Amino acid sequence: MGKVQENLLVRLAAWVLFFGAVWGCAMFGQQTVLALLCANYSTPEDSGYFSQMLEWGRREALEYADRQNRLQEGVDLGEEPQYLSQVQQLEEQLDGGKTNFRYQLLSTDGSQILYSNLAEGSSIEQQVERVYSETVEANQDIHVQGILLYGVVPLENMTVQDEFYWLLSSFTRYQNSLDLYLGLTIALAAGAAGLLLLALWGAGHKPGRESVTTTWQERIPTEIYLLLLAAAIIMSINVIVECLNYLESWWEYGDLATRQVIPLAGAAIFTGCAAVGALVLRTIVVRCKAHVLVHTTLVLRLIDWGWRNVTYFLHHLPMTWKTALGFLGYLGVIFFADYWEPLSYYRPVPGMLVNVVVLMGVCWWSAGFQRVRKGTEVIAGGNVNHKIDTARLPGELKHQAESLNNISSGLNNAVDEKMKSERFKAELITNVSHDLKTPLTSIINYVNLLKSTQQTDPKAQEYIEVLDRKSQRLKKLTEDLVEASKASTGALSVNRERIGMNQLLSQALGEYEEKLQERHLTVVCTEPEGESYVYADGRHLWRVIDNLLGNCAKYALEGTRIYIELIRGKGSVTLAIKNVSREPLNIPAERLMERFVRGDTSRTTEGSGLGLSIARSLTELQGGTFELVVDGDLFKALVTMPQAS
Amino acid sequence: MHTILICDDDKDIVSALDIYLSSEGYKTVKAYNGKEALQAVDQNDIDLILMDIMMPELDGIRATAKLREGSNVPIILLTAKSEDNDKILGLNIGADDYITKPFNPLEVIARVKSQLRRYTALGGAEKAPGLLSVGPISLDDSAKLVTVDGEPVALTPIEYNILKLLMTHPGQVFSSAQIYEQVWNDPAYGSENTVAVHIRHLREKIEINPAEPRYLKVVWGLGYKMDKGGI
Repeated sequence: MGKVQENLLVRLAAWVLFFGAVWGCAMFGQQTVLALLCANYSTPEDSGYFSQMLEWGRREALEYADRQNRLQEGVDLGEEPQYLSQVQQLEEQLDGGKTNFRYQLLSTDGSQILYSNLAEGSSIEQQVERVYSETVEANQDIHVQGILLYGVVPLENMTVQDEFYWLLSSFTRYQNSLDLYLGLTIALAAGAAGLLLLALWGAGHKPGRESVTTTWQERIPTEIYLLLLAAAIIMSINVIVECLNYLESWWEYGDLATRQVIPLAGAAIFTGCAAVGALVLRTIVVRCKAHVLVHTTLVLRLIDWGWRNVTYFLHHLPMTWKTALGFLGYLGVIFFADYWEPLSYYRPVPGMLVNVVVLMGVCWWSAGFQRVRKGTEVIAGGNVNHKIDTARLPGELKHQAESLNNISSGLNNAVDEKMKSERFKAELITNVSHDLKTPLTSIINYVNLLKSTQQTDPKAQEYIEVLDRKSQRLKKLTEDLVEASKASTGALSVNRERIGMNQLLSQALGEYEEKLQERHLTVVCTEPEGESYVYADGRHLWRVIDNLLGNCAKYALEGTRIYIELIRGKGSVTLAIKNVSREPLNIPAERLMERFVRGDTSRTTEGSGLGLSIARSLTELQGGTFELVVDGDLFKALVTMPQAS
Repeated sequence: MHTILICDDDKDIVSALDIYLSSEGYKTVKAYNGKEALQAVDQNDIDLILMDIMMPELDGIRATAKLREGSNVPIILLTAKSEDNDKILGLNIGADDYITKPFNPLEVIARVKSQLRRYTALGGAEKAPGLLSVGPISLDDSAKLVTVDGEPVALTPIEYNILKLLMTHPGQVFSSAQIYEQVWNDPAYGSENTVAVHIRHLREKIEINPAEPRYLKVVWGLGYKMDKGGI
């Protein structure tokens, strides 16, 4: 198929045959029209053209008789040669051998033949089928008196091929061939259409090229072609209308030459129109094939530009404006449906239909919104893998859902990355601290051995003391490090049960009583009546309180009070521990909870900087919340655990 | 004169322990991995084994399992693995005690002594009437005497009463208020802290490592109990 489409010869042949078919169609079309005209008359003698010819014959016969009579009556000498030549000319024209017109001019009483072009001895009734007769009265113009008999020889007896012969013969031909002409016209029209399709199918394809090639024709704006086509069509319609108006009269009153030119001219005009039309069609088809129709048509380009601007504008309009515009549009449509003349007759049906459509639209939007909201809730609930189905969502919501999906996938990646790095960190810390423990064991042991040796130098004893202290510190640090990494990565097992917060607090205070007393810290404890039960892992919660009280012992200003408060909230129990810091706390509360951050920037005290980090991780591991408030030197820690019934 | 096998792949730790144990009058045998430990047990008359877990060739857990096939010599595991699972695994496989690294040498000696006493001197504990015992702790109510591994411990009357209450119901958890009411014979009005302080003192007297009690345990948020398990 592609080969045929690309073949130049085939395409050229198609065009040539197309024009031939159009030409033939035009020609036979006109013949058909003429044949249809002929079909109006039962005999050729009824047609105007025949009677006109007959009239011409009658006039010639009368003129001939008139001129002869005038010559006999005597004319001016000067006029005689003119009359004579006229008589001679008319005699030639009316000669029985040159025309099928026959006449006899009889005297008024009919007794004698004055003039005739009949052969000697033959009567007009013998030769002519239908004889017209007329009594001629002499007057100023015509000096003829008598009875004129005239007629035309029947077609079968005609010996001369004059206009009568042509008329009668073609009339018969038209009457016999109407069906043939009509059939041929239709067939040729169909053929032309087929060939045009073939030519258009091949248009724009060049041998050896995959894509459609455009030529200079496709660069001219389509409008110019359309104007050309419109002009051609208007012109040809004009011509055809004119032709139809005059065709009959030309046909009936025109001479032979006119009648032969008419069909040719008509066919030429028609073919010209078809050529222009085909050319326009071809370029439009090629433009469509090359997808440049909109681009090369000024009006379409303008519409396209306008449409794009309008959609861009609407797209970038704030939601509020869109809603307002939509509502105004709705009001307009409702008004139109209710009050526009042809529609208002059916009131309130059109308005209700509009409302039903709008309701369906609103429901669609709401359903979409519901879907987006549910998806958002799922994502917010922690399932960052969730993807909202964006199929069949209204534009704005689709946009929103896609954004949410992007967020969730971004979040997902971030969470994965974070989990991986946290796990890696925890593993690293566990391994490193494990490797630290073995040498540390030796250090502690040998320091102890050193202590037990007899050191005479007081300086040496002092140094051993430092070594002892620092090695113990290192021991605590490695233990805290492992615990912090385990707690923050959730590698600890949590066995939550119903435990009494008051009980735990009194146990903890019992553990710390002496340490706090050493630093002259007084505990002021406020507890609500009865036991406050929470849902937690006792060992982990102890560790949290242990760290907080340990911080109090380490960092609280000596001689101050530590306020401990148990607050029963809605579904939760909060433990608040407040103390006054010895050192100024110039670090924000959030930073204090990070690993290795300590209230004293010089880091001279014994803490590891992990206590609060561990406390927070452990609290969160048990489903509680851990909060720090720093207000000047006042340090407040809030541990909130879910209440157990 | 007891012979103690010290087995650790870190030579410095082995020699440090050697010094401590020798100064306490014990004879020591050194091994640096599980296989050497097994050989040493074959070749010597060993009374107690200090065994590291993470060692080349044969680790402490496997060596313990092997030893337990034909011997009931006390085994104390020395481990850098502080996870509970490792402790439980070690004790289940047949070890008698464990010490986590980095350890306090005094605690090691205390535990060695405790194990040796139970292994040699006390033997299978024949229960006398009126004698309460949980693990190494014995309470003779008639003599008002408390011993840990046969060593008498001096307790205040309140501490004694608390210990007696807990030891008569081993495994049962008593809240601070319950203990207060039963020991002081007074309703508890916010005096639970006192109980906690006394318990801590008690722990310091009867536990080798009070920070990690084996017998007198704190059940955080619930109370206190005497645990027979010793883990």
